[in-house]
Amino acid sequence: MVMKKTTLMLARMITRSKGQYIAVLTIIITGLLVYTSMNTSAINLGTTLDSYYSDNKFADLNAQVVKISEQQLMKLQDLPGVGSVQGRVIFDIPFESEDKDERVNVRIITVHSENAGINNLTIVDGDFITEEDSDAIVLQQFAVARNIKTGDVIELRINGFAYKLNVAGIGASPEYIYATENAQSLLPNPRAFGVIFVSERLGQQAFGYQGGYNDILFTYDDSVKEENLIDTLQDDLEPFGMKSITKREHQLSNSMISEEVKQLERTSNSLPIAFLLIAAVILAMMIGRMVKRDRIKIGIMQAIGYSKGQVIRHYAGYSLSAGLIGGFLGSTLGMLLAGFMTSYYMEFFNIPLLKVSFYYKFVLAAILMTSAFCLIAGLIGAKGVLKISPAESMQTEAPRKGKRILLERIGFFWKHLSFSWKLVYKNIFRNKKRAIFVLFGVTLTYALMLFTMGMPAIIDEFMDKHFTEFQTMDYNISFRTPMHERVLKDFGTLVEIDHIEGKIEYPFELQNGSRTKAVPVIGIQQDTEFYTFKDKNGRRVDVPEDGILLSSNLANSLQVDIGDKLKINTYLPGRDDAYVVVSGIIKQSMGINAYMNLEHMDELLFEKNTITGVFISTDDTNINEALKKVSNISTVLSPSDLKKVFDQYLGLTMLSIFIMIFFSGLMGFAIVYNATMISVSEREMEFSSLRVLGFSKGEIYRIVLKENNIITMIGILLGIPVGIWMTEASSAVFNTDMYSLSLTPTPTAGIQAAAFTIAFVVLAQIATFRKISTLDFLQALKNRVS
Amino acid sequence: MSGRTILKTEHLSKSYQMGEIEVKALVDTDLELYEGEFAVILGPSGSGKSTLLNIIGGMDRPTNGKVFLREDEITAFTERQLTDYRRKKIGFVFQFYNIMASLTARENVELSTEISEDPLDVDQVMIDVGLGERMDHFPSQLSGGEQQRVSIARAVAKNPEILLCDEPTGALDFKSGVAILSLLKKINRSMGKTVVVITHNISIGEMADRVIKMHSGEIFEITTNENPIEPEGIQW
Repeated sequence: MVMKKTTLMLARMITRSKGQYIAVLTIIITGLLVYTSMNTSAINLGTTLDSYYSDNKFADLNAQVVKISEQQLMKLQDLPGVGSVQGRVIFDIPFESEDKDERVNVRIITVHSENAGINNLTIVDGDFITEEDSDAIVLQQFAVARNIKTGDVIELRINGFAYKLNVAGIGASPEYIYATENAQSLLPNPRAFGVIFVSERLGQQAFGYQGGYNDILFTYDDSVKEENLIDTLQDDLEPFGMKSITKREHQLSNSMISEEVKQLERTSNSLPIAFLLIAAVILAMMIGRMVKRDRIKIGIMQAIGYSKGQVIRHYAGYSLSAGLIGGFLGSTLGMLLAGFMTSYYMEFFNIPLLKVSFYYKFVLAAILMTSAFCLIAGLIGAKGVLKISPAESMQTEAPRKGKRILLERIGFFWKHLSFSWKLVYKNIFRNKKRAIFVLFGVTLTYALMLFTMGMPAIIDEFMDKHFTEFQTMDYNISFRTPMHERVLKDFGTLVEIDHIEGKIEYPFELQNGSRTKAVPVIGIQQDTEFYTFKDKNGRRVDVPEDGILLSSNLANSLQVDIGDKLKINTYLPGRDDAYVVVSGIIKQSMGINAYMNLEHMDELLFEKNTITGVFISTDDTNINEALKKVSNISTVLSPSDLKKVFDQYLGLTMLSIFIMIFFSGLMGFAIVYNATMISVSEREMEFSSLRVLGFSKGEIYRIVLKENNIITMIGILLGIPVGIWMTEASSAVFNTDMYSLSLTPTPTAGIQAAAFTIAFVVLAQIATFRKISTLDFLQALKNRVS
Repeated sequence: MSGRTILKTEHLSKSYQMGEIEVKALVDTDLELYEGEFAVILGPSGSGKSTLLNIIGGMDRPTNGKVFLREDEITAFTERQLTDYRRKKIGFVFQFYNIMASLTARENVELSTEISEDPLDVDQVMIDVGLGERMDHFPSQLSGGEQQRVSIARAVAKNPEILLCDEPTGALDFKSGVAILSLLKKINRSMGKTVVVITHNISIGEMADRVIKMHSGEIFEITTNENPIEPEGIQW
């Protein structure tokens, strides 16, 4: 097939500007890489989860009670909407670690005798329980972290008795994909928390629950009306000391992993649009400048008999080809990356199944989306063709109206400028569009760099602030069952304490109209020394006498404001639901919580003088050892340990930030390079004239350098607000139940971003210098060929 | 010679804005061009000859007046019709050749034949204009004369009725200029195309069937050459 000559011209136009073309392609490819890989990973993760959940019969609903007998449990089976029911015995106990100072908790959970009930395990190594009295299955993450292997013997101390259990196998559970101890832990720490599955007989016997359970799993049948069933269960389970009912969507592991999938989807849909928009703007500007430069060529094409539409299509073809090539390459590479990403996620989340599918619809969608973006950009860029009439294009361009530039009117300033500086300013002001194109490039580059460079510092700062300003206790200790606050005194005898405060920390469902959210509500002393609350404007917020404080992400999720009334749904036996007024919304960078005055919370929801734990500040490092003797302590959290776990997790976040920095760097360079190259090619004639007039290469280069320096400076200044805006706008993406960031770039990031931007400009300048050095000025002057 | 009228202008005038100045490029111009003639429009720069050429070539529109190609009034054409007119009826040759740098000589010619209805054989045209051996060269590898030959081949190959040449020798040395004029004459004779050459070079008028002299946007004299000389006899 013979290629049409316009296509051939297009191909050669692309070859001639390959540097710029590749630069734009890079941006498109990056955007689509993100789009395809993240979307595919999100779907893969979602479908894998679904099939994992369905294969292992992951519970639809979970209720915790004090104790329910097997007979009573069976009756629940008949409730409308219930598909199946399974009782379990669950208790958290300390796990003996070789390191005496290390506090490790394990959750003992009884399982169905044939692993064929609800929340079944996937055995990844070894076998399922055969010896009911001595076999155990260890949760994979814990086994890996503590180097426990099939065939090992682990010793547990339950209610004063020692049990030697044989590790029959290592298992994965749909309930502990994200294996956190409780809602406060936020992040899994597999060395410090694990799950051990035992037979029902062993569990019931060890914890004194013969014929009974303290945890119930439900699956639904097709007729289920979830809210009705929950209402019924709340009534039916009350006599058995109901503690909580958790829907699947609020189940800790599931809600975390679902959030991750959602986050992935959000990023995969928003980030690529930003990349494509930038690519489109660059393309539109590039083609706009090309059309201006190719005025004569366009005139000739029209003189030969090409219509304006054909000429526009020729130029739009430049960007459309970039869209097609970029779309294809980006989405194909994205698919490959999606395979790795999905495997990585599966490994990260410990999902034993792996279903990596490739979705060609994303390739198609990516190509269509990019082509549409690029085509529109191309048409916008090429619309200048409409203004070119063939006859006029052949004539020398009429000289522009010679007006004084704005700066000339500032007499004092203008008088003190040297001639070459005057020339520089006149060049900038008389070629505003060209200057604006380069300015746009620099501004965008700086803003992008500011955004990405700012990230590590922001994360560091919010972590630091959370643990040094927001909450300052050394230990956060929770009891197994609520106690009278007089135990505060007993702590003094166990450990050396600088300061101690009682707390209530208990999960409640908060409700505003139809919106509900189950979160840990924390009761603290009104004059607490351990918490410093501030609102979004940085003003201090005191603990109210009888209201409730909400973290901003919680207020947002419930759609409430200060002064609104919230309902607290309680499952505590003998307690009614309570109403409180939102008295403040506070900034909390990690976690999602509500805070109340301890005394008021006791009155409303518990008994007077009740606490469920304590906050301690102490220099005593043997606290874990000392507290091991206290049987009613369930967890001892040290914020500094938590920070360490966070730091590890941040490694992952940092990696993605560095990838972002790399890509925005690439994008920044692409923008500045393109802007400069176009400007240089437009000015061949001008440079040539200057050479003929006797200017040396160095002199011309210095003029261009001065122009670019001024534009870079202004670009950076304009980039500051744009970068701040981009950073702030991205806060929304980062706001989850886990993080709630108010992002503002730091001054250091500003300086780093400036350094990078200047480096890109310098690199692009080298290209300019090469162009000026190799310029055959006589040829350029003679040449009227496009 | 003097065949039937192929193109006619009536009271043609054109004024346009050049920077801050309004220029009257053409004033009330009436002209007839005949089938198969070789006409030279002569005049100094600014006399309006290029403007006249652009308007009759459908590249520009007059401020007033009409242009007819036979019975069709091209000044009443829509944009689309004008494009079609340029595509099928007119071949342009420019002073600065204006060929596409990114296409070879042959490809430049094909650029125009690809959109024409009844094009000539490109290879033959290339041989006819003397570029048989240099078809696959890019413009940067060709001399000015050769580039102008490409430009002529591009105009001729699409088989137009009228060839409009704007200072075709203006950028060439004498020898190349004469060669180009010979080529145009050959095309005029062998293909029977109407050729209009605009120039400020009085000598070129000697080879024309008719010489139309312009000054300040007006035609002030039209002379018919009973015995036009061969291009090779021209001196300047």
